[in-house]
Amino acid sequence: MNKRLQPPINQLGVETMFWSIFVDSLALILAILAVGWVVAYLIHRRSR
Amino acid sequence: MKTGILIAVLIYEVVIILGVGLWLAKRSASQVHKEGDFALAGRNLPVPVVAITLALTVLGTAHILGIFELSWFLGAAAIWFSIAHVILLVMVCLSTGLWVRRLGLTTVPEILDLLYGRITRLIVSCTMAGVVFGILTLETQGIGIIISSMTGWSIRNGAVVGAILGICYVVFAGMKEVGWLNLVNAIVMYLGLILATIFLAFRLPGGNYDSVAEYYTSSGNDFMLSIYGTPEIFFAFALGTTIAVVFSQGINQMLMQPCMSAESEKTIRRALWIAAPLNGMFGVFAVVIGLTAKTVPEFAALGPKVAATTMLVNYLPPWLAALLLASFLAAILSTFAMTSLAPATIFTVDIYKNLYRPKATEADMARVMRITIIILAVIAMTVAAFLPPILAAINWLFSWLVPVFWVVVFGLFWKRSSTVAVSTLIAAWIANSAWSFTSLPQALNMADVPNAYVTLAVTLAVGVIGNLMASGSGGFFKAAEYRARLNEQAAAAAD
Repeated sequence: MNKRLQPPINQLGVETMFWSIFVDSLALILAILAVGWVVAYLIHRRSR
Repeated sequence: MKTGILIAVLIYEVVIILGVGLWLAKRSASQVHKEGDFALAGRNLPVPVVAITLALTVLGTAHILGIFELSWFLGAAAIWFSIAHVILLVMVCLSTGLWVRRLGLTTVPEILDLLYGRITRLIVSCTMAGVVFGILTLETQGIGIIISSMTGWSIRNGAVVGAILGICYVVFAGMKEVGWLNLVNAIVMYLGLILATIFLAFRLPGGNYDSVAEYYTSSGNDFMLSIYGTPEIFFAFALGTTIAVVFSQGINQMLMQPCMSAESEKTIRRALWIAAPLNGMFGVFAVVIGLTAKTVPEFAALGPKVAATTMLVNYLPPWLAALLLASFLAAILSTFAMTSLAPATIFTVDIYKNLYRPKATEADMARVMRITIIILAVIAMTVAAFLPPILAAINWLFSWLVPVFWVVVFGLFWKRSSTVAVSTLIAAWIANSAWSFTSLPQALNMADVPNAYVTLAVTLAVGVIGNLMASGSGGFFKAAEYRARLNEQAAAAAD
């Protein structure tokens, strides 16, 4: 259980706990939105 | 006991219930003369309103108290409950919300009736009532936690008072108010939580969260500071929660409603870019508060359920603590009202009236409904006393609805066979029961596999194989009925 998945933000040198969680979460949310949008666009284009 | 905060919280509840009630009364009085306008306005909501409604309607006990509690054990990875809701919103705004709008329907049972007939609708309605009742027991626990933080009573005693408060709320506030109250409270709660995170930092050594990070790093638990946790947490919690939330809530009534009222399909798609970050980022504040509570010994001693809320009561300025707890309590009470009324309505309409008293009057039904609500609240109070972990319980409840989503998808896009649909639902529910109440997971050496995985696997296996083998009509979106329906809607809109 102690093996930690490295959050990308720590590699950027941001050390404050709050900002680390904040930026990691925001980046993840934006990535999910981007993937969702691309998938929906491709499905929409194919169905036309 | 924090008497001042307790009084302020009660005043907030009374003022907001009366205020929203008076505003709604005034609004409906002014709309008598322009009913047509109102009906049209109902399908004309702009992007910001659709987005805020979508983001905030799903915020409840699990998002607040559930994340506080779970961050104690999993750390920042508890935020995956919020992240799962981001994925859910992507699903709703880019697919299910658009489908439901296109079909001109508003509820899941209506869709099932359209695709497979009444028996499937009845089976799903009964299961949904059970799931909603399960959520009611968690809301009762949530009220108990809030009351416990303000009074110092045990959560069990708080839950007893909470259930009584909940019944009063249903009686006095009424259902028309609940939706609006939820929205007002969610806005207050969101802003309050952001302010709480800022004020909390000032009370910590150095005026920031470094001491919290230091606590976890020095104890060898630095994985608790990462939203990705460990591979085990990611598999068992993050992915499990995502499956449970996305496939159980993908066709959720509360999320479908704003989609139906949106100006156009484009409005729904655009709303996603505001709704998803708004909902997802809520978890950041909840996780940070939950992580902090564990590092302060006086609150850590209280245990994971009440540590964070008690810390907020003691560390925040009284006005902010009162505002935040009042909005928590009001949001939970609103959900309590909705979750107690839904199964009571199903019992009164579908069982009491349909099976026993077809000639029941409105007064008879209102009486039966009131009695049912009280009985349900008493049972919920008893179950809440066992204090199940909130997020684990809600994920378990959600896993029951996973097959419903897939049965709808199969029917819309592939094949409509009511035999296969019913078989898929029953097989998934039997598997879920076996996984929950027998030693099957241990026998298979799969004790860490969450229920949502099992219901998803059985649903896909039975649904896909069944539809490949059985005969049935084609997917609804390919059928002539669907095109006829679209033409009817277009004609009605032109009129």
